[in-house]
Amino acid sequence: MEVEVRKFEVFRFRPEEEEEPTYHTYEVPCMPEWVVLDALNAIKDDIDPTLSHRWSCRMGVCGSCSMLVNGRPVLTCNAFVKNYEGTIRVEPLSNFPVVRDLVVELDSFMAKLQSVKPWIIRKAEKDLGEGEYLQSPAQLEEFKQYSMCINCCLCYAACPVLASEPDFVGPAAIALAHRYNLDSRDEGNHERYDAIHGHDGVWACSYSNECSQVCPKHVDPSMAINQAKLTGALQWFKLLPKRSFT
Amino acid sequence: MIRRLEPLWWILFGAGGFIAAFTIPGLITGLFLLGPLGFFESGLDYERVLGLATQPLGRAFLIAVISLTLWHSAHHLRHLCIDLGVKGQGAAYGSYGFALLGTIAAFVVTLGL
Repeated sequence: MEVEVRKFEVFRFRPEEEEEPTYHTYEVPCMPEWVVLDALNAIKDDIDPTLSHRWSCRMGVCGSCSMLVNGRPVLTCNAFVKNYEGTIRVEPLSNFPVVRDLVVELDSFMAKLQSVKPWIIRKAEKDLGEGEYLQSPAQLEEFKQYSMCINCCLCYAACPVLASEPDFVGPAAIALAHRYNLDSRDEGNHERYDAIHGHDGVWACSYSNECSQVCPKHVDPSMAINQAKLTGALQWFKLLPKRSFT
Repeated sequence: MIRRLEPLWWILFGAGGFIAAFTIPGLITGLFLLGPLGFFESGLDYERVLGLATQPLGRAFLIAVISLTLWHSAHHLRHLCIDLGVKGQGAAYGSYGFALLGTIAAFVVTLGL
């Protein structure tokens, strides 16, 4: 196995010790199959134990290790070192406050996620004895794509609207709201209406499509947002009842 | 005001995008390229095109194409300003105001033919 020494320019910020963020360059011996996350772990284990970064599953499922690599939002567990040339710059996700080094504060995202009520809402719950809510494969297909989100927030870091309007509900939350609105078992459409079509909802989106470009799970949030715009507009013109999207 | 009417701006934007995509390439190709090059046997001379434009359906078509395309462009322009970090609703008033003036002009000119 050929080990290659690669340079990583890593964003460092320890608010208890310094006023301004700095960049520190590390020289890391990398194996050919390494991803950026492997290099960050090697830095923390062998070079500089003070480096802070988030990670968990190492297999593109948990959405913990989102960062900017050369300015682009990626899952670092899915960003192969061999695909980058020269010095690799690693920074925390944009559009979020930094807690320390590569770790960002995600509270705003969590609040937005909750605001769209991403769960099945029924007017009246069926009794367990009455059996399950049946759904056909075609009905599942309606929303399945939008249910693949892993809350990695790459789309929030990529969104140009969020950079100027921090209160925008944002791609992942709207895509998830849309997913429940399209679900044949759900009756909570009108309860999500204000969050999605209110002041900071879909209308803030300028369709730059960056969210769908960076999404590692091919959720296509910009498609969800624009479908929600159409249904929202038709509901506004009273051409579509608020209670049904389909 | 601008925010409250958001669905209206978006529907105008969508309709404009639809009508622009479907009609403008054909209009430009036919009127400014194929016509002058003599591709149409009957010719697309001024009198003939004016005749088409002054039919009730021709007038409605012209008004729809001109005004909706302007609304489409205005919405793009407004959102471009948002993406560039312009604060406030000045861009919206400017863009939509221009589209509104263009719409009024389209009515006046087209109905005056």
